[in-house]
Amino acid sequence: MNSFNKVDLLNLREWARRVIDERAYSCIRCGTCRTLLQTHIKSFNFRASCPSGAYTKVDCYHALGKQFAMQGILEGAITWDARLIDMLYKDPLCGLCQENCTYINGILEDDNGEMYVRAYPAPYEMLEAARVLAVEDKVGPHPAQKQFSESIIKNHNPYLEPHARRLDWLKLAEISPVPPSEADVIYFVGCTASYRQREVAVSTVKILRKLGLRFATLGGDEWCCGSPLMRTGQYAAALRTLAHVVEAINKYPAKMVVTSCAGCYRVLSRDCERLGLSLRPEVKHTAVLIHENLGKLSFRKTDLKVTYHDPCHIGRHLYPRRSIYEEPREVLSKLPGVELVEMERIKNYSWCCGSGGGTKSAFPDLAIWAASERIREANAVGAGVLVSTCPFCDLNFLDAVREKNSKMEVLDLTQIVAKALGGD
Amino acid sequence: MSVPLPTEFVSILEKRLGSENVQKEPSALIHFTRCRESVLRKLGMKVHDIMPDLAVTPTSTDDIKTLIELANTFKVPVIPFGATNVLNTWVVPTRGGVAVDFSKMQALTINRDTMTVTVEPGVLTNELWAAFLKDPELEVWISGGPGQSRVIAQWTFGGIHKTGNVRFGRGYNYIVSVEMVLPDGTLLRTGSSAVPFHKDFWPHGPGPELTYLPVLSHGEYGIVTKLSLKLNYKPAKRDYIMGVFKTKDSLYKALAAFTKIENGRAIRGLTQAPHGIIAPYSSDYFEMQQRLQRAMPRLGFLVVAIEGTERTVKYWLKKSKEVIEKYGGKVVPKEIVDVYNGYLDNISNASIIRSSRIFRKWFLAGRWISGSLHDLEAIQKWEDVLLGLKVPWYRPWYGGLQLYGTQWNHYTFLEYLYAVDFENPESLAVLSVIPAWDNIRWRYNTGMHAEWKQRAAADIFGEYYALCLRVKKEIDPNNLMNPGIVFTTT
Repeated sequence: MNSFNKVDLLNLREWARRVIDERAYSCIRCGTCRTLLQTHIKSFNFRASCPSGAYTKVDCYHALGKQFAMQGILEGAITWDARLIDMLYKDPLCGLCQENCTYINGILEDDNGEMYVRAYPAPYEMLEAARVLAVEDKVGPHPAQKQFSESIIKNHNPYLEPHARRLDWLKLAEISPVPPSEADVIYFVGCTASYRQREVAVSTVKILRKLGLRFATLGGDEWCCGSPLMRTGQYAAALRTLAHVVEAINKYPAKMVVTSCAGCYRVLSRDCERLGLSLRPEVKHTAVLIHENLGKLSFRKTDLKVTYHDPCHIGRHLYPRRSIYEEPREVLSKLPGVELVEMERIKNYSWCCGSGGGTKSAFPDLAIWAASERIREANAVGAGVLVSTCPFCDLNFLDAVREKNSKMEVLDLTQIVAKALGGD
Repeated sequence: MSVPLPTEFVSILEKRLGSENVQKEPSALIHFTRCRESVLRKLGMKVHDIMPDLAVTPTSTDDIKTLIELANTFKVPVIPFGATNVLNTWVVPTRGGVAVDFSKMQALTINRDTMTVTVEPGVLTNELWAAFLKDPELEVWISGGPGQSRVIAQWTFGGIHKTGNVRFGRGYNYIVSVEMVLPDGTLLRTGSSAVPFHKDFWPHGPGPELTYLPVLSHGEYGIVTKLSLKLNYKPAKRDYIMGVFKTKDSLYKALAAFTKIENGRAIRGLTQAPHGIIAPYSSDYFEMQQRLQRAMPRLGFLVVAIEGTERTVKYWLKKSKEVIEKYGGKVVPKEIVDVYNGYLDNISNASIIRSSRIFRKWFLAGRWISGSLHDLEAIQKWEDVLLGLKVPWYRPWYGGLQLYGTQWNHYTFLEYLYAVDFENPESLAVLSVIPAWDNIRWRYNTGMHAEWKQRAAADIFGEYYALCLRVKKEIDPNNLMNPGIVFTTT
C-alpha cells in the first residue's frame, strides 16, 4: 500500500515523516525533475517542467533540492527556516516532477495499482507530506495562505466572500435546480465557479438541463471541498470541511455528483478515500459527463481554433488510472467548426497554469508568470482560444491575459460546449 | 574543517552580486552537500558535515569574476556545482566555502556561419538538445549524455562520453573554445575566441593550447563561463537496431565484433547495457550501473545507431542484425522502442528505452527483470568493492586524474570492469578494454587521443596525476578552486 494514500489522521506528523522518509531517501538527485525529459522535449522554448525552479532560477527550488532539505529536517541536521518554507510553498504542486521521476526512476505498478518497487522518490507526494509536516510543526502554511484558510473555516470558501452569496450565480443561469431529494445529479459547483467564474457554473447547468438531468445543488450545505487546505498541508482543517461535504452529499439519494472544478474533482474522487471518508455517489467531472453524452447533444457550428490545457488536478494528480486527458479533447474535436491544435506540453507532461498549491494567494507573481508561459505556448501553435476544465486555471489565465494584454480568449470546456449548444 | 566566512566577504558579495543571489540558509546549502557516501566515509565525514557556508547564483561572467577575486582576497574556497548534484561529482565543499549554482546563466547562442553553439554554464544538456530539435540542418552531437546535467559541467566534468561515439569521437573533441575565469580572476579565452573580433571556429588559437585545460576537470582549474561547440549537419537518414542478449559474454562478444567491423561510415553509436549504459540524466555513473545490474542481472542490451544515406543505413541494419544473431542475440521488436518522441535522435540513450513502461512490460512478461531498482545498500556495497580494488587504472581515476582526457580510458575500463568476473577483475578488465580501443577514433587518432595514445597503453596514470598536481599548484597556489577530494594530497 502506498503510504501516501493512507493518511493517518490520528498522527499526521508521524505519517508525514514516514511519507517523506520513504521518498526523500529514494531520490538519487538525478535532476530529472528540472526539465522535460530529453525524449519529451519538443523545443527549446517550451522545455521547462518545473514552475518553481524555472521561476526562481535557483536549483534547490526543484524537487531534488526539497527532497534533500527534507532529509535534513528528518535527521535534525537542519531546522525549519524561512528559505525552506519559501521553497516548499513557492510551488504550485503540479506534479510534473513526479511524472518525470516516474518515467526515469522506475516506478512500476502491479495489477492492483500498487507500486512495484518498494521505495521510490515520488516528489509530488513528498512535497505535500512536507507541507503537512510544516503545518504540524507550526511553521506552515505560508503566512499569505492563512487568510484563505481562515476564510474557508469561517465562510466556507477561500475568497473571503459571505457564504450567503454562494448561490448568486443561479440568478444568472435562470434555471432552477430541483430539491436535492428529487435530483438525479448533485452539481457540486465549487468555490471558484460560485464566486469568481460564474459563467462556468451557468454553462454547466445549461448542459445538465440539455441532457435532461434533474440536478440539484447542495445549496447552503455546499462548503469548500478543502482542496486549498489539503494542498497547503492543512489536512486536519481540510478533513472538517470535507467531512461536512461528504455528509451533505451522502444524505441525498442522487447517484451521481458532477463537478466542473478540477480541484474539487480530485478531492472528491481521490482525497476522500485517502482521508477515510466514503462518498456514496459516483463522482464525475463535467468533461467526462459531456463526453459520455455526446450522442445526445447537437451543436451549432462555431469557428474557433482552440488548444486544450490539462489541469494538473484531473491529470497527473489522478495518476495512473483516473487521469482525464482524452475526454475533453474528444469533446472539442466533435464540436463543429472547432479546430483543436495541441501545445507542446500536454497530458501528463502539461505545463501547470501556476495557480495551484496555494501559490495564487501566496505568490501571485509566480502564478501569473506560469500562466503567461502557457499562453505563450498556446500562441505559438496559433490558437485563439485556450480551453481548460478547471475554473481556477481559467481564473489565473484570465488574470494573466489582463496583465500581459494578451488577445488570447480563455474559456472553460463547459462554456464552449454551452456556446455550441445554443442559447435556448 | 570549515572556517567561518569573514563577514566582510559576505557583505561585499551580497552587495556586488545582489542579496537575492546569495543563499545562506542551511535548507538551501544542504543542496550542495552530497557526494558519494563512501567517499565521505573514507574522509571520515558524514553528508551533512560538509555544507558550504554560502551558495551563490551568479548571473554573468562578471559575477563569477567578482566572486573569484573576492574569494582570493579572503582565501575562501569556491566550489562550482555544474549539475549541482551528480553523485559521483568531485565537487564537495570539504572545506566549506561558496557553492556556485549556475541556474541563472542560461544563455545559448547558435552561430550558423561558424556552425557553433555557445552555452553558459546553466544550460542543461536537455536544453542544448532541444535547441536543435526543430533545426532543419544542424545538430549538436550529444552522445547520450545525462540530460539533466549542465552542458559545460558534463563536458568538462566528464561523465558521458563512452563507447557511444563510434563515428564522431568523443564529445569533447567538438569543443572549439572556452571562456574561463581562472583562480586568480583572470578571464581566459581560448581557441579562435582569443583573437579579437574573431568568431569561434578553431580550438587552437594563438599562443599555448589551453582549450582543453578545463576538459574533464571539476572546477579545480577555474570556472568555465562559456563553451563553444562545433555543430554537425543532420544526416539524410537514421535508424537503429537493438539486440538483447541473455548472457554478458554474448553481449560483449557482439560489441567487440561491432568495434572490429565498424569503419566510421555508418554506425554512429553503440550502447551496451546493463554494464555500459549511461543514464539519460546526471545520475551517478556507478549508481546507474548498479541499479541496472540489480534490475536486469541476466540481461544485456546492445543498441546500434546507424546513419547516412538510405542505402548505407539499409546495408548496416542488415549487417548489424547478422552480427547480433551470430552472437546469440535477439533483435528487439521496433514497436517496443519506437513510441518515444525523438527516439531516433536519441538513439544512444539505451537507458531511456530501458526505463520505458512498455519496454519493461515486454521483459516482465518474459520474467527477465527482477529485483528492486533502488537497492541503495547493494549500490553502496559495490561501490566499496570498487574503491577497494587494486587495479592500477582505478586508483588515479579516483584521485582525480582528468587533464589529458584520460577519462575515456577510465570509463571504458570501468564499463568493462562491470562486464567481467569480479573474482578476477584485473586481468579480465585489461583484456576487455583492448578491443574497445580498436575503433574509428582510435585508428584515426581523432581529437586528443593521438598525443597520448602510446602512453595510454602503459601505466600512465601515476605520471599524469603528478602532472595534474603541478598544473594545479601553478594555477591555483592557494588551492581555493574546488579544494575537495579531487586532489586529495593537496
